[in-house]
Amino acid sequence: MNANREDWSPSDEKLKKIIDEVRENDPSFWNEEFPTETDLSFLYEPQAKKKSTRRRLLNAAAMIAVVLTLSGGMAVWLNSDASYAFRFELKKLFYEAKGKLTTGEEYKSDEGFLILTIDSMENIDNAKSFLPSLLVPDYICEGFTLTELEISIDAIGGYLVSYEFQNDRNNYINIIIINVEDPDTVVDTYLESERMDFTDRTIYYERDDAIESQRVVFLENNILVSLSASNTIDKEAIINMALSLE
Amino acid sequence: MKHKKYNTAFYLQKVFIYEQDIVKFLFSYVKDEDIANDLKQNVMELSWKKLDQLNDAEKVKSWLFSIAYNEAMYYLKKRNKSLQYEYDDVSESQSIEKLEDEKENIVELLYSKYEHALVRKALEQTDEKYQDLLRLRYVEEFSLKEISEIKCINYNSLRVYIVRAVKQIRDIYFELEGEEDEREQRRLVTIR
Repeated sequence: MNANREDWSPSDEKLKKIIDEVRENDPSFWNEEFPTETDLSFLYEPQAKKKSTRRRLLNAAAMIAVVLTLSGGMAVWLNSDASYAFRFELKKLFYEAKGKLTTGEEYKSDEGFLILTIDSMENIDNAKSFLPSLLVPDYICEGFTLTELEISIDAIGGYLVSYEFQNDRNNYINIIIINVEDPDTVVDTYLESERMDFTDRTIYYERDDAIESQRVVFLENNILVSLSASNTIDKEAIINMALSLE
Repeated sequence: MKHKKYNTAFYLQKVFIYEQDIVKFLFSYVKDEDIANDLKQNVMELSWKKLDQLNDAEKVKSWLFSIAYNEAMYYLKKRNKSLQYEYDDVSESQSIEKLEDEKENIVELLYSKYEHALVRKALEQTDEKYQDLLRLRYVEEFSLKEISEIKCINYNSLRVYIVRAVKQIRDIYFELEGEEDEREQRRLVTIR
């Protein structure tokens, strides 16, 4: 007996027999045949080469600048030296990688940054050891799992954190966290985004269906956080996730 | 791309073998062969990418069908389409045990006298949402627990749905049988 038939009753067996006989008499019944061909090249593709840290940081900076300034008049205007504001690309010193690697972690130096990468929340304690001030979501939207957390630290303590979560429907949640050296370089111009005041945090929410995205942004204690996600995810869940970052 | 738990051979032998089943499953939602094939490609790639998230290798089939179901729902949602039906939580005044007894009696009755052609017609005329469940249960042979996970239906609601499906088959079957008898009577009268 098929293991899956453990929960079958005698009537299930009989119904199965009836249906089987119908299908034997007419093999096309409930058995559409489709010519199908699967491109299996994905099995042999090497893992996408990681972008260089410099490029990731610049992309993140650009992304946040776009998020904050251009999308629907949202939020924060960064000064013309935005990339400098983030400091990362100015630093070229290498930290000496240390510590023992465990499964699911990657620890390396790259272009002046010390980087830790993990792919499971089970290793979050190691990430906290690496960056004690790391903001960690206490709540993660249902069905989502961490696909990558990359923490880049520069020589004088500047950092960029990038969380990437995905679910089985290919929906995404990305969280970018940057410590801003000089908060004066960030000028509040929150215009059309929805401001939401909670007990411990003020956030700005914006949704853009044209790019199938929604975002939550907040600036707190010199830490700029941008959480962007597929627009199919429940708004309340996204906000709760942003509020749970501690 | 390397996986920690599984290798390419596992994927080809245990996952990829359901390729054709997945297309059929997807077709039942999107009703378009090309789209079903495109989505199947996505499902196969996604299952490869997420292979390490498969916790129990014995459950690979239901895991793969869950991915396919999500892919189909995502496709429909993105195009502002929806299924013609939904599986809400349902309850019956009778207990599940009584419903199961009723199911036993109906199936016993059908089993004692059924004609293939009439059962086929009855199955075809059964609501699509019931056909969907019957295929998963009696063709793909998923357990009720697996079906409830694949389709995100409450377990007890699923049991109620299966009983309702069987009742509907019975009703349609006997209606068709009545029509057949009537036709036969008319044919005999004409011959006389």
